[in-house]
Amino acid sequence: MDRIARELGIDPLRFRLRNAYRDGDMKAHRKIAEGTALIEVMQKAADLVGHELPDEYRTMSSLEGR
Amino acid sequence: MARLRGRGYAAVNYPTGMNLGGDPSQALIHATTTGTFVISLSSVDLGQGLKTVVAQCAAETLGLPIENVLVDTADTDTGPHCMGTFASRGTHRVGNAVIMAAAEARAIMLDVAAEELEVDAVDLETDGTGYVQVKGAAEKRIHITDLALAAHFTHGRTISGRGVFMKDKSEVVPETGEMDPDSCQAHACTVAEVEVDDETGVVEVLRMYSVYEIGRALNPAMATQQVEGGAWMGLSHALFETTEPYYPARDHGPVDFSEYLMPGAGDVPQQRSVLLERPADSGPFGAKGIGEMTANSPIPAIANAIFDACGVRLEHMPFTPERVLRGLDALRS
Repeated sequence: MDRIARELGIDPLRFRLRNAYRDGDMKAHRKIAEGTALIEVMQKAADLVGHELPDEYRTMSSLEGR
Repeated sequence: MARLRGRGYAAVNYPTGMNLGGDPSQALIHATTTGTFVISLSSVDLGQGLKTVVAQCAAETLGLPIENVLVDTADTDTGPHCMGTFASRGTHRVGNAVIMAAAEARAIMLDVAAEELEVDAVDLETDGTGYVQVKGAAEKRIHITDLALAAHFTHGRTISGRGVFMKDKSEVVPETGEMDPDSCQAHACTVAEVEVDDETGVVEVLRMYSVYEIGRALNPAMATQQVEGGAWMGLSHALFETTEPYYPARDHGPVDFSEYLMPGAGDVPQQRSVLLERPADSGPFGAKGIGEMTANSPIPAIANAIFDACGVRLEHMPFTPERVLRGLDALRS
């Protein structure tokens, strides 16, 4: 993830947030994702270290499908 | 010659349980004559705190103090079946089995109390301190010790229960790969801050931040210990665990596991750990498993921090001084 993000010139944490799976996504083994929280743990980690995130990343939610 | 600082991120999800072959665990519970509820299991607590957490699950379900619960486990000759302690399944599987067993025992406990108090069992409740009492008339009550004695010597009954958690075998569809291999997923993000000495190649982890979403944290203090202890293991995988730390000189290399290099107290970074909760429908009181995942995300976080610090992208663990220096040489050439 880090290598792709840097290749594209995107902040590695924002790149992960953009691509994080959410409730309703279908996983590789065709199971519908539920109870996801990958976005939320990254948002909280950003808070802990003072990593700036624009509002569009702050307001992302695992509960809302893309 | 400089000490270069960098920060790296890693985010992971991790499955609870692994049931491609079916994944059961069972629990039995019974009250002694004096009202101690013995939970019989063969599940192994290897330091992760399973005995504490399942005792909590039983106490909560029975409505009794945790002091009234005794966990007797890990003898596979005598205990009910448990598939084992792996796949971060213990709290989830065994917790569910214990809740089911305790619920059955609670119903019998209230039945016996109803006979003793000459009321209907549906009008009874537990007060959490050891009494069963009549709803709205708390003075009409009986202590669990008197209740258990009465069950044994007056009513000739056991106060007991059986529990099982069983997730059916998931058949994989060969054409599509479709399967249902797990019960839920926990999530984590680790941030590592490192300092790389570009003269010696030594990497020091200065700080580590961990955010875990683990369903309901049944015991937040123990869950945090798991997160921080697991981070230590991840740090050890990432930076230390090799039989050749001084390659090519072998003179001071470890010859067995007692000399194997692992981080000491001085190598442990400052850690800040936060738990988020999104309870899982399938979990005991909503808990997910976080056993093995805690050693995972620190490793890529440290690798990414090393890259951020000095531009060296390391792909083989551990990230020894030699590998860092070879990477720096490659960048310069």
